[in-house]
Amino acid sequence: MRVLIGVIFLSLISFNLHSKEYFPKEIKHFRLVWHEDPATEATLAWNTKREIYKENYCYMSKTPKKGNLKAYELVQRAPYNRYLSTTNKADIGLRYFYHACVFKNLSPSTKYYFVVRSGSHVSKELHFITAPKDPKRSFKLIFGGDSRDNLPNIRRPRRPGINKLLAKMVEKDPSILALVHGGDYVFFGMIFRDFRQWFRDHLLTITKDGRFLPVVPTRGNHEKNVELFNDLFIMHRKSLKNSYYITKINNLYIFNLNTSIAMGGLQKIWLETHLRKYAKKGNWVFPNYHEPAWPAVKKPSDALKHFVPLFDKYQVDLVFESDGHSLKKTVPIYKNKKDLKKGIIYLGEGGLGVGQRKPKNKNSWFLKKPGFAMAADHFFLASMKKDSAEIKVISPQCKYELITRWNCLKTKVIDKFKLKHRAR
Amino acid sequence: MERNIHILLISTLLLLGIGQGGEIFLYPSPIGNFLLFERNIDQGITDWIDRLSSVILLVSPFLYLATKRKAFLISLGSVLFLIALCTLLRGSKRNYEIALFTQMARYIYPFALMMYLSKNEKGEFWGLTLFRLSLGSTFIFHGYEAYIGEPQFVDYTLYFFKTLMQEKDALLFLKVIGVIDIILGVLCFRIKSPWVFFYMAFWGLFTAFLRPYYHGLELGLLPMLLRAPHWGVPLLLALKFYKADLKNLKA
Repeated sequence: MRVLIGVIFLSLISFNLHSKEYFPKEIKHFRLVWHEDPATEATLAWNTKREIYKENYCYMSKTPKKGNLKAYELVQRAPYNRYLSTTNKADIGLRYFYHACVFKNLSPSTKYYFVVRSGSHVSKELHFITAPKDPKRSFKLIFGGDSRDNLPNIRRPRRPGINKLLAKMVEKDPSILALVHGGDYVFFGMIFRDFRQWFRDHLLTITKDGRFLPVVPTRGNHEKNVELFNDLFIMHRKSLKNSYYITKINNLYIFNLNTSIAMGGLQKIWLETHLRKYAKKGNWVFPNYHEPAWPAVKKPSDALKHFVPLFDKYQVDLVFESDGHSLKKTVPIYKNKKDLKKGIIYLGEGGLGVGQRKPKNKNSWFLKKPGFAMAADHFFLASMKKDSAEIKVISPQCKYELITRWNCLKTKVIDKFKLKHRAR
Repeated sequence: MERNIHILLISTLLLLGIGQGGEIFLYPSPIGNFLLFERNIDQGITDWIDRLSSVILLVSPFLYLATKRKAFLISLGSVLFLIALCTLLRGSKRNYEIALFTQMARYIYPFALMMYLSKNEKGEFWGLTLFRLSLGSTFIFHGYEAYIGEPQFVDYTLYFFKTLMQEKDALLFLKVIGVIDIILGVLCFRIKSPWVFFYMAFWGLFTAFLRPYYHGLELGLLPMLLRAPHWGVPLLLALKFYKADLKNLKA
């Protein structure tokens, strides 16, 4: 019994060790967020308990300074210092205060070293790489959603295992720049309590040499507290506050859409306006949203009615969906029919930790070969070049072990396919 | 008049069973989803539970008609209640948190019908009281959803009014609709005017018809059918009070 308790204790310690390695206990839930222009802009945010620190700073530099605060080239006093927007009873006692710095005019394709400081508490130096602004430069992105846990599995979460796997992937392939999240980060998105663990788990994506994986956020149906979501991912400015916006990297335009608000009104107008502007020859256009238009499990969301006709009209290249908790790839679809020439492939539907289910609509026409649907943890690796793109459908092969918990160090490539520019 | 009321009651029951049973037959139910994701029960079992729920919903109304056994109404009402409860427990959307109130007209319907048809005055009184209670709750909480600008309602409004309305107008329009719904929901506990209930029946029918109008028949037909109590119950109350008014006039 003592041995068992000892093993459990050790496993708990090892689980929290990673975060303590980089951040003092006073600096909590650190995140690095990319929004519209990740080649020149990055948002660093973290929480502290209450507003006890008057001085909250971010320091950034193109060369490592090993935490020597005076040596950093870019210094910013955090312009965002507020209480998290949560008045829910479940959050009573937490009273977290968030701080954020938004760095602009950064150099593209550049390694930036950074630390953050609250009072006298300073984080260890980490780094990230800004997105390129040179179409000749190739890069990779991870797309995935639904990193929430099943309720009884909160004690045996799968998410940390997958995050450790992402860290290994980034270590092996530094051209992976960021995680584009499709929404449903946690189960209780109404409150902050559940998000705490998500941010702790995200630190597991830090590589051995201290590279931090930025997140491009999209809102899912579980992120019910809009104000809290905006506070966590610093989505306050006008172009971000409704959670639909474009992330532009080179000639790739990721249309992050919001299926948790009305889709047929302002969002649809915005979508059409921006598709008209950016869905041009030579550009990649990847819409990314939560509730699927072509679901493997559930009923189609209103995205089918409002977004899909615009995707057809402006011939987007590929669509990422989440929410269904199963892996699917549709046949190329154009005007609600299979069309190998003008059709659009829809990939989904959320497998970054949530339990997977066997798809109910498996025999639907849009999931027939070359499409498929199955129950498997998954994410997608998009390798972007100027004139071609390769998409890998990757399934982490996770195994539950007592000490390491979910061990997902192996992957299986379920499918891969290439995209060429459309004749728009 | 009594015969018409009886036909209305039975039609509402059949439509409710077919609508909700069909939905669960085609798509995962909140019960299955809750057990699978929030209780980690094997999908083989949850799929089986979904199938069983679907059969109960589809068959019970017909079996009740054939046998007049109350057990079929109880089983139908229980499954409908579990659907509302599991929707609430999953809570994956903001409006799901009030599902027990918004869906009350559906799961109360079989129980209220059972009492109403019990052929004694007390039973009829309690049946009508339950009908009123569930209708009031459904109107009040749908009104609340409209008032706070439930995204789905915004999309319905924009689609119905086409270019006549923009999103901000739709939100304002829904606020007005919401207030009217809430007032009617509260009033229906007390008033006896058939015209108020006729209006509620019209509104219930209109909002049910919005589903196929907006989603198309393939996706909207079953949601329209399962909302039969939203117009069936107020129509029943309208006819009851209209009949009483006629009686008073004659007297």
